[in-house]
Amino acid sequence: MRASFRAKLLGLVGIMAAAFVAILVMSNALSARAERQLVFIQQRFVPKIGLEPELQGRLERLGRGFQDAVAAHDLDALDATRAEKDGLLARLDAAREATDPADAAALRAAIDDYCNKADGVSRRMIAGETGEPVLDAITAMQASQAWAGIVVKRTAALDRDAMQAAFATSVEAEATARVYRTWVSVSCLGLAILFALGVSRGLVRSVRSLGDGLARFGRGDFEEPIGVSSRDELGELARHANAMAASLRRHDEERRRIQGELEASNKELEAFSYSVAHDLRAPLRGINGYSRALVEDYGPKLDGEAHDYLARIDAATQRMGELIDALLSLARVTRADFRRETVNLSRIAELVVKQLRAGSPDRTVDVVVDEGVIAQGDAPLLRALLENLLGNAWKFTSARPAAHIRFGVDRARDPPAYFVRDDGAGFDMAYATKLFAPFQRLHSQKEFAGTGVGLATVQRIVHRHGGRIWAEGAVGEGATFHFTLTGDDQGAPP
Amino acid sequence: MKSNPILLVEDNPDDEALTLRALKKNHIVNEVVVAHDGVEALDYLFGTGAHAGRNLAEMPQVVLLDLNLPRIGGLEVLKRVREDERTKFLAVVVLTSSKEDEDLLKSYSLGANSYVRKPVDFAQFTEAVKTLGLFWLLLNETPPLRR
Repeated sequence: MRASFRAKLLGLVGIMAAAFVAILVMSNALSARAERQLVFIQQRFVPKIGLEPELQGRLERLGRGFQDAVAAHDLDALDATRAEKDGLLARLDAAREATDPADAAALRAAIDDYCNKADGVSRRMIAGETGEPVLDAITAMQASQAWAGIVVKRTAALDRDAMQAAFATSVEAEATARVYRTWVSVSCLGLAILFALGVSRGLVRSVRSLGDGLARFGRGDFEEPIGVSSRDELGELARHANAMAASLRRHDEERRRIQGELEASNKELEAFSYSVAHDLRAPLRGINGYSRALVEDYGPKLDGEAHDYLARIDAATQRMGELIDALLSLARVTRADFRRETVNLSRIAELVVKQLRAGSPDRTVDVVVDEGVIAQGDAPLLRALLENLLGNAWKFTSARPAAHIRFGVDRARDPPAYFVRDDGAGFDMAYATKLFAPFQRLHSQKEFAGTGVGLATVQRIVHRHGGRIWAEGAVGEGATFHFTLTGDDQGAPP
Repeated sequence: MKSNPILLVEDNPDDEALTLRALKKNHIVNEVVVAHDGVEALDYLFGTGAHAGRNLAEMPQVVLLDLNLPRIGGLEVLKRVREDERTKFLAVVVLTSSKEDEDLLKSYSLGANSYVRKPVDFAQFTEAVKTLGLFWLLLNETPPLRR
């Protein structure tokens, strides 16, 4: 069975409840005993308080009643003593619970005997009888009265020792009940504290172990599972975390495997590039070299058409050489190391423009480079990007007698969009999506020379920065290229 | 002009012929020894194998070394040349199709004297060979041979 924290807490509450019930039962029993003692005192002793003097008094009054009736020679008054006797017996009866039944019966008998004797003596004296027999009767009556007094004393006497003993028993029971309550309460409280401490210590240990384990998982160390084996919710959490770690570990291994494959395929790509660079160019050089050798060595023997063909071979091989180089540079952009840093694009743009001016000093181009355009990115790649975009702007404005080129940033956009704008040949927006595909050209080689990989290179550089690039333009009105450079450092194309 | 031979290490016969033609066109008359792979080149330089017994006092004025070679590659040849006392000051010019940064860096870090890329355009190639010949055969002073 699984002892969850809920179960543990319920157990704790149960134990405490049981303890409290036990206390209640025991103290109730003791209290009941104390109460019973008090009831006993109430019944057995309280009615007896003042009973003896009262009974003795009534006995005396009864005696006086007889004497008064004799003295008055009144038979009616003699009858009235009956009421006095009944009162005495009623009083005795009222205290019957407190008196010993045998004593009470003896007292009744003694009083009956006394009353009969007193009544008889009184009647004889009222009748005027005198002499020895009457005196004997009087003596017997007096003995009976004395006996009745003795029996009253025995019956109504308050046993103070017994009463005190009963009180003591009651008080003792209540005190014991209190002691029981106190001790059981204290031990129950102590037990609860110990239990709570034990539970919380286990809890803290488990939580700490779990925390450490999760921290290890966070660092990518999945070697050891979390060692929380308790059967509670934390144990379950640890098992889930371990399962998660195992899953992460599988993913990590999978990722490593894919990364390994990727690295292997990158190596293959490098080998391929190398082979393209080296092996494809060698035969091209042969074709070009021998066509030139033909011209040089056999020129005079060849007619004009042959010379034209050879010139075309020469141009075509050179063009193919350029295309191979362009293809390789495009591949290099993808493979190059990527390191993000703060780059001053304005400065790079100015340097590129300076180079372009040096390349064609006779051109009139008004170039405006906005100052302080700063970006986060890879400096060599961003330089290649600006070389391509500004180079394009320079190239496609070559037909203008006075061209305008501007480099700047549109900070109103988020992320900021950098741009290169020119008023050159422009392009038809219908082909805007074709601009960035490798070897796609919108102008003939005759109009503007080029390999068609410049914008493809630019797009790859932008994608490696996690940004995007778009173009706007119209035929004969120039073009504007916007690009952003934000995104994650891996530079994975979106 | 220095009269020591030129060692051309080149496996492609077209490139070999074109290089020889370019040398001839530029009136470079030094003897050209051609090795078709790295092993042949090392044999010539250290007088082993096919070149056993060669007079090692006569070292090439310059070695034109291709990188992509059968058997032993150009970079390995360069490494062994620099490691050996007899050849460590030899003028070695890497002459190759590759423009890869990696090859450039490796060549220079292994001690290449210069790195020249073979252009596709034969006119440019001839010009490059002419410049090479001018510098390494006419202007450059080699250190005295140690005995």
